Amino acid sequence: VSTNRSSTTVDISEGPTTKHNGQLVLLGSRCRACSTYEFPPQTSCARCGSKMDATPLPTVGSVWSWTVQRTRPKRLRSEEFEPFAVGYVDLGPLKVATRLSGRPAAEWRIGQPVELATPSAGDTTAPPYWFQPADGSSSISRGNS
Amino acid sequence: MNVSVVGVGLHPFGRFDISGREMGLIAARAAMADAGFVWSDVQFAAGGSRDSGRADALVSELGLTGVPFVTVYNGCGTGGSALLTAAQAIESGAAEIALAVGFDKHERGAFGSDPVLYGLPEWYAEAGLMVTTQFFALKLQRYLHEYDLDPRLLAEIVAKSLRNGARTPHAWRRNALSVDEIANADMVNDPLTKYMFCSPSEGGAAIVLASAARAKQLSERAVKLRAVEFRTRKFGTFEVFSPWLAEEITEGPTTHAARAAFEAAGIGPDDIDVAQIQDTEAGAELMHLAESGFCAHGDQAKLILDGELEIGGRIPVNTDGGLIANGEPIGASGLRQVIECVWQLQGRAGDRQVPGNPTTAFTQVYGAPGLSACTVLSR
Repeated sequence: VSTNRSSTTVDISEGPTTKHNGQLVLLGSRCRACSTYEFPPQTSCARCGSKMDATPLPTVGSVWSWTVQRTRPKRLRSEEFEPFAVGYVDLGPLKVATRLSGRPAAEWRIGQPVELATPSAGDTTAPPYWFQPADGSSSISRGNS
Repeated sequence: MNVSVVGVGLHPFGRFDISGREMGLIAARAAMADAGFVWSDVQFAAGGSRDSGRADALVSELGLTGVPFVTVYNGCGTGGSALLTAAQAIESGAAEIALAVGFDKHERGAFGSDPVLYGLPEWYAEAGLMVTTQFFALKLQRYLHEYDLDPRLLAEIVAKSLRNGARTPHAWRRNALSVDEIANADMVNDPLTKYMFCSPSEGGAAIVLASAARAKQLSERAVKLRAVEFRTRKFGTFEVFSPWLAEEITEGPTTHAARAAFEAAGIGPDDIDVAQIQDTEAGAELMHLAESGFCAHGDQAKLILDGELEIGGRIPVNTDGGLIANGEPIGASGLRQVIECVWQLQGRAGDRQVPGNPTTAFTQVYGAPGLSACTVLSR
């Protein structure tokens, strides 16, 4: 997938990630006029209405807010449910909503450094992406804790 | 605005054995009786419901008079939209008497939302990220961090709402709880415990409006609707169902709607004697107090801990227990806030009456995906 394909061909139903330099990254969009970033990609900018181009998003950032989802969301894909942490991760030009893994759910704090993670090929139960500790303290590479 | 409230009607909020539609009819008839009108007097109507059918279909039982009846839906702000639509019909001269009505009856448990209706991808919901209670917690967690506020304030807010609810005959939750019971209850979405959220419920509410000139002839107790202002979100706000947020967070729709309402009314937050503020959860009341202009961001602790928000305090808020004690029938909720203010201004609020003959009131309702409607009322 080319990240500079025409913005009019972006289909958000493809999922939140795309291959970039051999790695799965989040696919967002950037406004040609005002440089606003959005996620998932839109064809026109929420700020100024100009055209947007699809673009890969940064893969590291910090926790901007967090909470624990302690009840099963009605539309959760996975049948199994254990409480999980969610949050917004500040990636610089924007913040993205995400699951947070790799640390006990109630022990996340604002400001902690995190990095993007994606499920291994064929894993259909994991969320399509999540963020995990980027300071080397993560004890697991994938999980919903 | 040259519009007055001349009649109000409310079907109690809670859980009942009748349909949401029937509650809407009961509320509409009560409002017309309160105004001394019959249905054929009404020249324009607007109303909404999320789960109980089309508001305009009420005409089949109210009477097929040919009245223009606009059905509205703006999430939790639906009541505000109905009131705005009816008020503008009068302000424009299209009608002299108008009805705003809302009703609902929801399933138990948190609202489930379809991502497609919000222009969002399926994976966002399937990953467990499209959850209203989660949004409230994420927004609040950031707010408490930025302004260094104690989460215990949330339990104080709920304790106040439940105390007020205990004095309110139409409220659903009428048992007071202690601050400790609320703070130490099961956590739902940190930092919000189960008692800190309102629940979907059932009820109906209706308001009859008249032109100010007509109202003067009709009733000595008519209440002036000095302003009703509705705003959707601007770029950069932090709203429900947002897969992303902007680099810089900007003022939300309540700030803009409240400011516009006060400007249109020609008075400010300091002049208000009683207010109903959207408290979908305790943090919403905390944040909306500042967004509405009743204090600076981060200064809520003084209002809450000094009792200024209590009935008898400087600025009583959610005198009927708000959404915390009444639950939320979406179509009716925003109208209930206005009705409570009308009763307070008319001295008809019973055990929860604000002392000192209040003369001015304010309401604020917030809905997904980022809209707010505010009113200013006075005797």
